[in-house]
Amino acid sequence: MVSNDRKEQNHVESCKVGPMKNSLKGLRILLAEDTSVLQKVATIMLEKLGAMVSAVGDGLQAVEALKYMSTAEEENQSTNILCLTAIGGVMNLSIYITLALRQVGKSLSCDASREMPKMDGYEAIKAIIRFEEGTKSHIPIVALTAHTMSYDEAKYLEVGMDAYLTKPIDCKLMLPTILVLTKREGSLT
Amino acid sequence: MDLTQMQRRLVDYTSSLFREGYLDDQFTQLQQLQDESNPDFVFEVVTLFFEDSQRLINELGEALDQQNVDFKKVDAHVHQLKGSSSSIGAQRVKNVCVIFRNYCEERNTERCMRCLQQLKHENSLVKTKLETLFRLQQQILTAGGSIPMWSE
Repeated sequence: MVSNDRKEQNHVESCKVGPMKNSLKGLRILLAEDTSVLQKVATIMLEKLGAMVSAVGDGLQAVEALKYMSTAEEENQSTNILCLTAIGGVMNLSIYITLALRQVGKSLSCDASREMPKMDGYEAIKAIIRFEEGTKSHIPIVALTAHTMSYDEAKYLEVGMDAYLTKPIDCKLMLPTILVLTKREGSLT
Repeated sequence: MDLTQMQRRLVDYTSSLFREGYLDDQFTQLQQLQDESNPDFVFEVVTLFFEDSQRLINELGEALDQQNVDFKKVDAHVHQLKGSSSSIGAQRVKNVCVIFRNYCEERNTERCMRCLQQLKHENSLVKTKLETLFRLQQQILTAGGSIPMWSE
């Protein structure tokens, strides 16, 4: 697993932020992750790259945070918000809700979000997609998954996520993914 | 022991932890996130992890002690522990979690309990190792030196 020239490799490919320090400047990231260790590590990684991170631990907090953030960014056409959400367990709710926000703009009511846990995940997503389309802003959603995905998780990805990253988060993969989704590839140079 | 010797000892000790599989590359990523603006980052994350792992281990003990074990609940706890252990690079703990989850799926209480024992053991081992690591680092800092940057 460990090779002799790893030392050299690490220096070049590592997550040492240095030149990439401001790659994510101006980006507001909603991090929805209920495991505190993962939340802390991901937050620091993203803040070091210049992003503003709002970290939440459950789906309902995720809705509130996203609504607030999208209101703040209303005038802006470019993508300045990105959602990074864990899926599985208590975070399943946040998927439905973030997808809902993506499909229907900011019109998600509190009642709808309370109803979702009672729906089967896939049914919920299909119902959401049946809502009216056409939103002003598209919030990219990146799922954080374990290496082995359940069937449900694979379905959610297929239906609505823009990208996924496996946990633990690898900085080298996370940065380009975010840059592409927020149309900032230019910042890599 | 002079500063150079202390630094040498730290590097050797850290290398051994990687070599023996206690830590993996994710730990290195954590170290790379530490800097002047987050000088105690690794220590903070590791501390957070052990608080979490202790809590989860306790809950696992309770859950497996029931007449009718709720394997979904057990699996959920192990899943959490797997996530956090892998994010700090505690490789051996993570590996036990992987096996543990398989037994949850099989609903094998006996095997699950053995995994829990294994988890307690590995958790305690890596905790001791990391405590030693931080102590060695502190000695160097107290002596006015800096922590050598290594890559493994």
